[in-house]
Amino acid sequence: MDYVELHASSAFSFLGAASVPETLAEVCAERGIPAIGLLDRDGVYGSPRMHMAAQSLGLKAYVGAEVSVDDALFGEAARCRYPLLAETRTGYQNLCRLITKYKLREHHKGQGAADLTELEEYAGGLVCLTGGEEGPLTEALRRGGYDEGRRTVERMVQTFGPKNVYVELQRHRNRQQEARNKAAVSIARNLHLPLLATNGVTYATPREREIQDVLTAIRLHTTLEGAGTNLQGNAERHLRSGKEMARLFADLPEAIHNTVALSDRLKFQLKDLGYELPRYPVPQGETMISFLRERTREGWERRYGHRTEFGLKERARRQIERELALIEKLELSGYFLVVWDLVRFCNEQKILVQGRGSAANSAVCYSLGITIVDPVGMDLLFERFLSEERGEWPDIDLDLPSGDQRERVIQYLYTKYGRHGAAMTANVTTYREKSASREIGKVLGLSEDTVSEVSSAVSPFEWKSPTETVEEHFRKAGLNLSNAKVVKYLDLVQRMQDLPRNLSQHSGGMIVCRGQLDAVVPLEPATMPGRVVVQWDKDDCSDFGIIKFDVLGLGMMAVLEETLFLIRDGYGEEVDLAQLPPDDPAVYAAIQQADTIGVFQIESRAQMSSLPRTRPKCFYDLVRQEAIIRPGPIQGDFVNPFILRVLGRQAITYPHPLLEPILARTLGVPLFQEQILKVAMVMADLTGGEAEQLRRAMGSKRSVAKVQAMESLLRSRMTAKGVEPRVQDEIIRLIQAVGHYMFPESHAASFAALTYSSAYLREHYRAAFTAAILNQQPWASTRLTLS
Amino acid sequence: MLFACVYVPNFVAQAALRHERETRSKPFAVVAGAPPQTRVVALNAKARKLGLWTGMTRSEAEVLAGIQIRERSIGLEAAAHAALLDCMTGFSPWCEDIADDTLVLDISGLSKLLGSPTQIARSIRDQARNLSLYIWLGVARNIDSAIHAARLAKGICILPAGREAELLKNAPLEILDPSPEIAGTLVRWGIRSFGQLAALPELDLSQRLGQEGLRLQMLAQGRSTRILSPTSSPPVFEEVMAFDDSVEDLESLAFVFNRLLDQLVLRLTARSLAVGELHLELQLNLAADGATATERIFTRVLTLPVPTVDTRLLLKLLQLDLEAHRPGAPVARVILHAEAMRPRVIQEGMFVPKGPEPQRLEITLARLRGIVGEDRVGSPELIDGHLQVPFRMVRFTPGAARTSGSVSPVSQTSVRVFRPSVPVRVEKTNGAPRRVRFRGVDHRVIQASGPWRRSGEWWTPDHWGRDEWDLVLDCGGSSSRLLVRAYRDLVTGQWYVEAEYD
Repeated sequence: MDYVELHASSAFSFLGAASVPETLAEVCAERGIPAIGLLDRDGVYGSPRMHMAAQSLGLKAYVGAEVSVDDALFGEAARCRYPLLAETRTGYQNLCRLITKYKLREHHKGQGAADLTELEEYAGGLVCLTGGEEGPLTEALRRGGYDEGRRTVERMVQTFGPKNVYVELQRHRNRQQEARNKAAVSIARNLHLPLLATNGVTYATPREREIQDVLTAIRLHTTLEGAGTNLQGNAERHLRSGKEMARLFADLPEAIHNTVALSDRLKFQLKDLGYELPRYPVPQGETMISFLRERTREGWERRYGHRTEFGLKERARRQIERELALIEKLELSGYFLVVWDLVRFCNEQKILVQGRGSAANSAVCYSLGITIVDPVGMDLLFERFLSEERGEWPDIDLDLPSGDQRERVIQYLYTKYGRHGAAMTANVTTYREKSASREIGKVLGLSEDTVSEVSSAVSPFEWKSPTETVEEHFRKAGLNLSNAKVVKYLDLVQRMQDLPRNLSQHSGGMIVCRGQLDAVVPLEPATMPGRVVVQWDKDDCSDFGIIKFDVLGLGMMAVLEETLFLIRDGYGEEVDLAQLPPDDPAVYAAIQQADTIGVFQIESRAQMSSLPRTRPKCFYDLVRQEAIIRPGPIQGDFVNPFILRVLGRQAITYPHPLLEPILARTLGVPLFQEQILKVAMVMADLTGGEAEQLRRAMGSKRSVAKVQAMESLLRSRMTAKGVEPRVQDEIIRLIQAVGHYMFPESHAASFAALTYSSAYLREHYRAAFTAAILNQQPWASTRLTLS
Repeated sequence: MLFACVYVPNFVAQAALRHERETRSKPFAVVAGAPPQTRVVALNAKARKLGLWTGMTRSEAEVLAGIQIRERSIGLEAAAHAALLDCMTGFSPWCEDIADDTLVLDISGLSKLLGSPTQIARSIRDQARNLSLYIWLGVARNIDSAIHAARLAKGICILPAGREAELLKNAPLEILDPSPEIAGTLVRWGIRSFGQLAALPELDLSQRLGQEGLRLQMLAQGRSTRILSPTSSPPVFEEVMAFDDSVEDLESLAFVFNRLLDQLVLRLTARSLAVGELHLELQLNLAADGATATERIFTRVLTLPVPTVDTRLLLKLLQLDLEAHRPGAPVARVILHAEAMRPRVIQEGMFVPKGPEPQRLEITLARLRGIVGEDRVGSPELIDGHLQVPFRMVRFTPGAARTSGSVSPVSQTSVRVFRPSVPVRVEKTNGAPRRVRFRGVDHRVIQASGPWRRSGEWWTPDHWGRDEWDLVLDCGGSSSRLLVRAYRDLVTGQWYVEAEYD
């Protein structure tokens, strides 16, 4: 029999449920459940991932939330959670607005609740269930018996309408629950309301009941022993197949049928968010694209007008034209204007700003003054930044001086677009081995010493050698791995990895919206005062077409800004970083001698040891230098071959002739992310979508595992192309390096620009530069000036 | 200022025989050390008269007839010292613990309570005698002179102010405890008494013996600037007794308990305290015939509902407890430790019916515990948890406020629980019980409700899980029915009937 689970919670209920959305989707698919309604606590945190996971498995994912409500009469004493499902886009928008409203006024994180008036105000387009253990009907029955329960359901009918209230029945093989179910059925019959069977899912499989109990103990700051009846009484709150549910509700088949009927009603899907970028106000008679074109043309004159390289200006003009045509086609002119406006504000306020990342591949961005790297001169690939095939939004990162200046820029965005029009993206903190071992050790009642031993055995660095397993850390901590309690401890720690722990604020990701952002995704206050954060992280925003840009604080930008000020003050000179003489011999001489203390990105020991060998002589040498001391090239063993080839001690060879155009600029050794992508595309004929999958694997968590998962696909494609096994091995080895971090070329170029600027100022204005570095240290109590 | 020094002569011997009054009148010696180097470390006058001396070997001492030999016991010495400290603290809180056998009290101001210094000293001596300790006392205006007087006293020695030097002039220099070098030098000079040392020229003495010599001279002259440093370590109320021959029967042990309890109560009352908890530790002789115990140390703890100094009550409770929990081997040593508490004053309500006397109630409960078992007497308390047995027994406290549980809208039905659950055989149809063989009788299941699933403690070796069924069983006859709660243990697969509904 068909059955749809319409009341499930994921681990994005943050310590309220035990399974990630992907696991829920997989188990739904295994058990033949065609659709699932995800109702996390007070938010839609997990809905994007649920949608993506369900879509990939051919399932439907409905959106909703369990909304905390304080009863009108009993207030917080009768707080319960109303399960709400979004039937239409209006319903979804109302849900987001409702959650935003009470979240933004909460005094303590996670303690906010709506009141019944607000529930009424935002009820349109929502379907309300009477809930499970923490729902309004159970709370009312506990408080005042059958009569109180009936009154509560009548009130729900008044709020949402008789067609939008379903009396929910859950059967977890519990006597008290079944007694309440009897009352619920009676109320439903009396009020002519449909019954709805759900399983109140908080974990995908019975085994995860253990994780659920652990999370409950963590949430209550107690041990498993001390959590008492707050723990699960059995393991029944898992996903059940239609057959199991039909058997369980054999006496009430209508409750099962109604799940399908309601599922058919729920039209809203997360892809229909209705997000729109703000419309930039342009002068009368202009459109956004015409305004953008004119600003770009002005910038093109400014940037390329004085350049003497043969044909450069014309090539730049053609490139800009191509980019603007694509921008117009994709209707992204508003996005570029928003960023341009922000850069303009920074310039007016004398705040140093520089775009980086894939934006540095765009000639339009260079002309608008967003970036300082000339992509035409450097022959960077625009499609890395913006591609019609990829169907992805562009991503511009702005580096600003760290500290107050950056905060001014962020507050400018909040002011310009309104409290509900701009917000920062979230960052989901997940359990890692250290945090999991610490918290699980406590709930198991282990001594502080034991917990500390295990926790300190874990390396603080993200990179781990193959022998650094959880089991190995336990052994190092002196735990007996044959002891039953230790075995359970180890098992729980391994299973808790990557489960969401809490929501925090991303360091600089910002999104803006035309109209109200709180109708697209709920907003909540960040821990920092004056900041608002959306409930989704940057990947979720990207998946659903919400454009973001990063506003990041860079210590070196603060140093450069301070240096320019000191130069102005001390020497009476005005230095424009964009107009520094390129390829200053003295600067490169210092770099080649590794006289680079204080210089951006090349003052580490690893960098300083390589500089006298690589001997950068020009800007592109610096670009390559930025990229070599990174986990990817190190893990992939690219660094030494590159250095040997620079020194002429190794011949420049290529794994396959097809790779020469891709790797020639780096002497046959891949140093940049794009090169690896291109290698995969050329050698394994990856489609745009597959290349996109590989690209996404690069920056994500568990990137190594994801890249490894693609290996069989890559090999089969290369075999089909007749590539020799030995060469395939080498190609796979190259591609796997991208599982560890590698710089995009444009990113390296942006950083190289900062490196050159800092090296130049250091060389020619040593006193000002040194004073600026010291002034920017966190421990600096007095400000140095030049006399 | 006026100080009294209490000195226990032959402390090791006194401590060893503190609870053996009968043996004190006989010649005895205390030995210590690992065999074969066990030597006499203390002896009484009678033993000395028989020719024993300190330092002779045990085997030499045992040759002499009639000698009682005791092993030196640090525990007994600590108990004796603690008893002395408790006793002295009853006179003055300003009491400094100089050594195991020496205490100094500040008795300034006690004259209004106890009279002259001699009367004060006699009171102290008498009180110490109650603890079976015979002490010498010295009273002086400074601490060191009081100590010297006590060591010299052989009773009570009062040093009036200004006459310290005169009255101590014949005291031997050993009392000053000089270093061996200085003692040797003084002996070579022919200086053997306080008076002789006091008379030496100061300058010459300092030239030859330095500051230490001057200090000793000052003490010999009855002068001292020492300040009392009151002992602040928390008191330990513990009495110990060891037996030559281990004691088997409880009646004999009762005499010992009585004696030890008397001492403990005396010490506690001196500090206005009472027994809140009594810890009994018995060291057993496992080598004895018929010994069934496997551990050498046997411990029991009696927690009293109300702190008490009623020795009879304490003795009775100890006896009842040991009757219910026999040691299983003869007892070689007894340690009784009292956790002290302030006595409680209970004000009963005017309109509240008078409850049973706490002492008599405690005895009744102890008798019940002896009959049914330790953890089967008390009040049931629900445990907040998913447990197979969701309650525990806690101390019965009449009149205690009831804890309010949550009000469940589901009507409560009483069940009579079988402890342990009764194993049954069950036949099922479509997963539900159809027939149950319970207490040898086959019953048809008329109605079944379930399964109600419960599980818990998965993180421990005691993890459990069960499917419960509420069954209406046909007992034969037109209206004969039985309503039971049965369950299937999900770990073992076995069926049980756990309870019968009323």
